[in-house]
Amino acid sequence: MAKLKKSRNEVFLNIPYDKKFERLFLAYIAGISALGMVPRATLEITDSSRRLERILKLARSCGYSVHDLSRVQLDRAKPRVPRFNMPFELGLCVADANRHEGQRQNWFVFEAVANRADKSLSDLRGTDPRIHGATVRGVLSGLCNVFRRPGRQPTVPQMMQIYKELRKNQVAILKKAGSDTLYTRKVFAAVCVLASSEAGRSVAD
Amino acid sequence: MTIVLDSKFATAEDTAKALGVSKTRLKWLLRLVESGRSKGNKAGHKNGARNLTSTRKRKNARGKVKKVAQ
Repeated sequence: MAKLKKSRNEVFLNIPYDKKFERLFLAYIAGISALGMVPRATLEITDSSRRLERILKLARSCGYSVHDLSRVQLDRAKPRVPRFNMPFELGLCVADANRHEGQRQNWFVFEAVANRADKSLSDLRGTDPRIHGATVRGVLSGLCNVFRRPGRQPTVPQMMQIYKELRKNQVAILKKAGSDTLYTRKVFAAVCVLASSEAGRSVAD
Repeated sequence: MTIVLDSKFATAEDTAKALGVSKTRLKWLLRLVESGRSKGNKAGHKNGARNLTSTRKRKNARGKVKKVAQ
């Protein structure tokens, strides 16, 4: 199998795709873009055939991955089950990172509630997840703690400004894409481009 | 653990390329950002709300009616 080249400024974003998570979804995009990186997500994979293989390929192509394990509750719709996708994709990334000995950690876990991951995913003990408290500011400051860009380090207020721009333009983007949700390939791409453009302007050299 | 980034700062064009956004759509998005920025100064918006002339007239008219009634 040919070795896949990792892009050091792409971040694999592993988050729940539900209505309640929209604010934090935009916060992750705003924060990652403010740091001069490109968010990537499984939303880009629209074809359902060989989905798992494509997810793995996408995750492998990214230099870093961010996993949000805050959605541990049961789904409202029947059958009521928890979402296993996020921990599963985290497992894939951890396994892939461990295949290469000596490679520094390139995956990061975010949670809303402190110590909850110790119970929901006790195998992760010893790896402190970033606690965002289900707030936009929490996500942004968590990303600021994980990544540093000397010479062009964004501040949390700058990230917040990008987030506000995304919120402001959300309706126009959805209308243009003919969608009522942020969780489509087209909308995701548009939001990321918008965030990058705003980051380029507000996060100065 | 903190990662120190030394890669190139991604521009809107880099992001569009990575995510397969067409040039036409990229242009539209950049225009959207620009238009949002200039609006605030030109049209005299306050907190995103704009008072239409018709709304102002209606409100004023309502005030006059009240005064007459008193």
